Amino acid sequence: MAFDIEGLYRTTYDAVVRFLYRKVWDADRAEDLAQEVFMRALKHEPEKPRSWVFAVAANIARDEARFAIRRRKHLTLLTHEPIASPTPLADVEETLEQQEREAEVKRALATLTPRDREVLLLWDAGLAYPEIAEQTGLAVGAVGTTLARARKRLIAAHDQIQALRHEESRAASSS
Amino acid sequence: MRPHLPEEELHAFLDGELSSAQRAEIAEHLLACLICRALEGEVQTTRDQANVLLAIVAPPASRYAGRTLPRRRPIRRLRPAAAAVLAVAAAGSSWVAFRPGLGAPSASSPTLAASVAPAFVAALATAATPTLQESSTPSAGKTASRADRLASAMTSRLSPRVVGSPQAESYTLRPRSTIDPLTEIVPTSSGTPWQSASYADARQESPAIAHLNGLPVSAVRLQPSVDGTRPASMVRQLLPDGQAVWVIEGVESSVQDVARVMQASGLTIGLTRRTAPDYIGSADNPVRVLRMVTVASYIPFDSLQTLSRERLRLDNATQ
Repeated sequence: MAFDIEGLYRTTYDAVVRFLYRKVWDADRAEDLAQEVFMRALKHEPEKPRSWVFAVAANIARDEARFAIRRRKHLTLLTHEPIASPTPLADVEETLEQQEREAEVKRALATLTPRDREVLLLWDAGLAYPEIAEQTGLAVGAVGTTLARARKRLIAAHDQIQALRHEESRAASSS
Repeated sequence: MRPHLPEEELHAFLDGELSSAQRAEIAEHLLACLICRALEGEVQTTRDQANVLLAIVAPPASRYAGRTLPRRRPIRRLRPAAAAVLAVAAAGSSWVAFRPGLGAPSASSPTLAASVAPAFVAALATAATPTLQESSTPSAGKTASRADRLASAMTSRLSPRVVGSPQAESYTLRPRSTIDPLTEIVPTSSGTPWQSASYADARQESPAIAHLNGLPVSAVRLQPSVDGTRPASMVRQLLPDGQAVWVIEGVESSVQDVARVMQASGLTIGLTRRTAPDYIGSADNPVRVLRMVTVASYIPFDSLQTLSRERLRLDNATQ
């Protein structure tokens, strides 16, 4: 069977960006890295393209994390420049709220063990249990167990974070 | 019969990751076993919640406009409650709407038909086609990508529909654009029509309006009675997350009419409780009329029960 990069791109690009975004937490960077993944796919013409792109994406994200700290320093310098934008106030509020919600889920995700998180993200990226098993080294039978645990822990951690926030805001308003 | 199903197997089942033989075995067990069915409901909720959370941490949606998403087809029995969750989530980002869309069986699928109220399915069957056409009008049809069309088709399919009269075949369907069932539920029962009222007025009309303590009231409807009983009431209140809860109180027939319509629209109905009866007729020969109260919302049954247990007030002592 001929290698169908176009089909692969069409069917997995968004999932790859999403997968990378949840590792690097930067939309632009995630898209750049996704491009890199597909460039490599084009060169390698992998046999199981779907699992392959996520394996490569995971590797790239890992490499990325090593350089992230250095870049973040650079970024803080840049973000000191104020950016004037005529955004309406309502939008700003909405964006802030969205950011806050995102930060909560992000923190909840961070409480998972690396393995639980990886399985959850791979599932959400659209991989099937056997593909997830192959990539994480788990037995296929263990994927369901891991996924069940990961989902529950994510929800529990998120609930806890929210409860904490409500408590804080109550404490702030009462004092 | 085999022992109860382990939780992870239900995850795999709902994720569509089992062989057809395994699926059949589990489906059969679920038919016979209440305990596992309850667990299945929990797992379904867990899955949905996790999906909603993950959807929050997605890159900005604008960068995704018009692209298709990969998704295999897991078997999913889409319950009204889950559908509501997803439909709500759909408002936030486009791909959330899309994802359950691909996973959901088509309207004609027997699994869907089996798990939702018949009236709901009937409404779907009648409504699916017109809504689809409506959402992709000729002018937009060419330019809208397949993804957009599918997403809009799915959201329209997921959204519960208001069925006019619960018992008749001649129920009226209102287009989604004119009525958002989350805010407007108008039972057109065989009895007296319902009327909107302000909360203050309603409290004057009737000495006690059943409501949930501490939640903001966003709408009140009263159904005046003809036989001298107190009016029936529907109070719409908002949960902290913006979801609506209805508290319905009145004589048995009124409450049942409303509950039927709401159930047909996919709301969860809580357990019905008796409230203080009315005594009508002459003073020396009074007739006792039973009254009851129930709550309805798009939240899981357990949550609804907890809510009503902790907050339901039948008097006007506090609000």
